[in-house]
Amino acid sequence: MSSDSYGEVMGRKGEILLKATGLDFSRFSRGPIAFDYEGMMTDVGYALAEVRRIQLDTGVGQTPLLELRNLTHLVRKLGRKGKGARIFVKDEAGNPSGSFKDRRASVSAYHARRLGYKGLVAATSGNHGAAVASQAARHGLRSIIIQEVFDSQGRGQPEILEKGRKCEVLGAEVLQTTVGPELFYVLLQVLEETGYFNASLYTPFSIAGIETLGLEIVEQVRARTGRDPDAVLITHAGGGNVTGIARGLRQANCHKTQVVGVSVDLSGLHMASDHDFNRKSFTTGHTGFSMPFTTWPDRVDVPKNAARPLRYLDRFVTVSQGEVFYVTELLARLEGLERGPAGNTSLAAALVLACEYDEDQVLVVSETEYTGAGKSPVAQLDFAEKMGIEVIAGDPRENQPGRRIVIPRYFNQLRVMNVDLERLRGSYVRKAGQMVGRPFTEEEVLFLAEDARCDAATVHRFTEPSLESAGLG
Amino acid sequence: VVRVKGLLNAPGRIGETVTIRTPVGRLLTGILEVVQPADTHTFGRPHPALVEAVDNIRDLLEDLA
Repeated sequence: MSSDSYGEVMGRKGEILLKATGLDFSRFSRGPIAFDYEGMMTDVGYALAEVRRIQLDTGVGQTPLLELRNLTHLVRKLGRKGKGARIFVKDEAGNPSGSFKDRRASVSAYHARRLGYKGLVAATSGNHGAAVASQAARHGLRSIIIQEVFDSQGRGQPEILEKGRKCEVLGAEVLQTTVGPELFYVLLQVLEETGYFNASLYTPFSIAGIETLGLEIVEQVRARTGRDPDAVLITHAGGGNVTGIARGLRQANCHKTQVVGVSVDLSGLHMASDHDFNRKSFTTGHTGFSMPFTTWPDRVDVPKNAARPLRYLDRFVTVSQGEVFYVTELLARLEGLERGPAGNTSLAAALVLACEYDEDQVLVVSETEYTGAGKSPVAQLDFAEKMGIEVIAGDPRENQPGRRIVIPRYFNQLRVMNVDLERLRGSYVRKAGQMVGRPFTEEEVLFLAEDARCDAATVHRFTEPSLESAGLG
Repeated sequence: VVRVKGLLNAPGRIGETVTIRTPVGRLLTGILEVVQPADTHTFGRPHPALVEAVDNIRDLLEDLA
């Protein structure tokens, strides 16, 4: 059928996505790059209190905040005297499908049912698929999950295979594609054919669902410690987690808390490459997503991404794969908590950053996730070795994404690498400049300043030709 | 390539073009690749590097006690 050809389906993209979210993004547009972000976020039509009620109805949220006393003790023992903040973790594995993603899916599912959609569709290889399937089931809706799973040899990453299994158990039709541009085309085709709701990770509904996580963190930390959290560490990939939690913190009048994004360093590996696809031992929370999404958020399945991490990040650090595996074991052995990789990415950074804070200060790791076959460190290491990656014990500094995973021998080998946010801001602004292909209008400068969290002069400085040619900024 | 699981609408053999009914009730047509596909992902084999790290953690625990 010619109407199904790649070009024709892609040509109907705007129309299909409008029908599949019920959101007319063009209402907020102010030209090729600028748009009314807060207007779009408000237009979702669900205030925080209502989101909370929606989530309570399906058993989402209100997860325990656990203090990691033994890990805190260890940090204090090995660090400088008087240093070593109390470390807490929000046990999001307690959500119905085992991760914080239920918060995102809950608002989409509620909204879809209210508007009379018969089902939900999501293009995701992550926990979001299980969350959409679970919330669809709880609302009596159908679900279709489109996953990028296989390389050209038909091999799949064990963690993605596990996530696919979970979606199937929860009643979803799971369409598994090979790596490449096929995913988006299949999504559009399925949305058009079924008329289902697009439970995208990047709509205002999805972000509104995460704001309750930020709010709960503040409420629970205040109740337990009598103070606001000094920093919240958030595993950072597409930017929704950072954006939603930071917005929740603000709604709880928590303005001094540091918002710290944490990603697994996978620099040098290309996400769209058939060769590299299965040479990463993390399927999310890594720089392969966080770098491109931070510097250009609108590369998504909706016209404007509601997740805008540069607006909210106070600090951005990376850790290595081997360090996260090590910390996963530490959490199990020292705290009696066997949890999945996503939250442990932030936990790895928390164990390092806690040394920078005083003993009476509080760090919160924003999530845990469920674990099991496919997700455990041993499953990942086994697969990595089959893909020809060297796995050794030693100093994590020797880590080389896609070539060598180094499991630290000792606790004091853990460290973080700081990402220069100013460089990311510059990269974002320059991309916007290339996109418009002319000097920015005054309105665009104001939008970019807000979106990149800098001032107008900095926006101008980023696009000065001398800086561009020198590769600075 | 897109792979999807479902129940066969009519008997078929591997390599043949068949139609399946998916869990949401859609009918999809394609080549039959596997009958009763298993979930083959596992917990994997223990890795010496991780075992060594865990062993050192035991010493940390003794320090904590």
